[in-house]
Amino acid sequence: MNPAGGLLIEAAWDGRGVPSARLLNSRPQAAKLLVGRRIDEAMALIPALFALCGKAQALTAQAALSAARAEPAADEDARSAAERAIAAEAAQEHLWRLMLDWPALFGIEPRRGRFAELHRQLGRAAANGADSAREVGGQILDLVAAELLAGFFTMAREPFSLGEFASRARRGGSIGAALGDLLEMGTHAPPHGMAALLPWQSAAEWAAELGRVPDEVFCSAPTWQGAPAETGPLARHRASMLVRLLVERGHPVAARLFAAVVDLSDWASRLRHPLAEDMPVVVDAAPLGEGAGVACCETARGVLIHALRVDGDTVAEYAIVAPTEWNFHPAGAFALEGSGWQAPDLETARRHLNALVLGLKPCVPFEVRFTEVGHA
Amino acid sequence: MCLAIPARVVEFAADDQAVVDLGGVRKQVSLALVDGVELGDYVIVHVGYALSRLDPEEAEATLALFREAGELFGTAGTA
Repeated sequence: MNPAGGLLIEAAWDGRGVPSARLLNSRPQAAKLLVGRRIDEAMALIPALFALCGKAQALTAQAALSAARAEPAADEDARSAAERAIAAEAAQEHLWRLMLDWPALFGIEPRRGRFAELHRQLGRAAANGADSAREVGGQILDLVAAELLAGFFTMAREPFSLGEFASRARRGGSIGAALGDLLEMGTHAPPHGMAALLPWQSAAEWAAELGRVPDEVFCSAPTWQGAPAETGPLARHRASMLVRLLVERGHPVAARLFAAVVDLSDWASRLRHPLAEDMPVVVDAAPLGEGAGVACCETARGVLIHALRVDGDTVAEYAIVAPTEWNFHPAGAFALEGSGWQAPDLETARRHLNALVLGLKPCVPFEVRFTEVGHA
Repeated sequence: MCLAIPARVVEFAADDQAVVDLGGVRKQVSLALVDGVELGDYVIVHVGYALSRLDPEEAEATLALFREAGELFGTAGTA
């Protein structure tokens, strides 16, 4: 087992479809490492603990701590720099999925060189300031327009049919080809429905919802208004016309992929113009009772929440609610959509299940295993 | 929230690849995303790529932290 944890999905194949798919989540809860430490020590540890989202984690932690201490909000320059750093990290994550993982799933050769070049530029953008971020943000917008969504910019109207949607997608390079393949695999309207889509909430609303620093049980299976919910690009772009069209026509997995491309554009825009007034704030924080604070941060995978309570110079309680635990909740989006569907053959079933997991964006490696079971 | 466990580079391979050692387990990873990696360096690895390079003190401190946390993580629940 990977010491950093992972997701194992054990799916049953009965010759006609997937009657069940069991999820095992071995991801450790890193917040435990922070409790009982000096505050400055805990804050220094956080960026080193996380491989993919160290900046988002560190900035969210700092925002939650400032709220707990009732400190004034950061100035505009600091908030701009923070948003650029989080946007660069989010764009790296989306590009990884869009340029490497999705094409590979459909047997398309990934563009590793172009990916590596953009990943490195994004890594430098946060440290190199506004001009560097603006430049790489522009490159990503060009990539989206020319290579990912090319077919959708040639006509002003929405596609009349899914066939036209797939045809337009195929004009957009490797990710467009993957989207076309997903649509042509047929509909997979989830028989058990979809999880609620988590709306954007301010930190004050999260504080009211949580009431206190959440416990480990909540962090491993979070709920919104008492029920599981999906976070991430589909939740953020649910109102987008083309995303909505795909969901309504029974293609939630394709909708997630398309929403990720739309989301990548948003992050590229934030790199170029942070703190835009017509977009929700990326990091928000609020007090959570005496000596406690909560902060929420939008990331590529969805909302990341840190909550802590301090006692003098010590971290008395710490909680991290990460996107993976929303989407892979035992009764959440994966649980609802992972089983109870049909496929013409095992290979199609394998591809669909892997696509479902990719679209829900786990932050740890995952493995899908199939077991053949007797026909129902 | 993938944990950043440092892996030591023990061998270079063709095509910008290297073999890393993570707690005795060796695997091949791409070095395409990081500059200036040398034998003995520590890197953070994610699904086949080295993401960043750490200085040895930082890597040792992080490894000590994860060793200390071994029991905590051993009791992590499943969802």
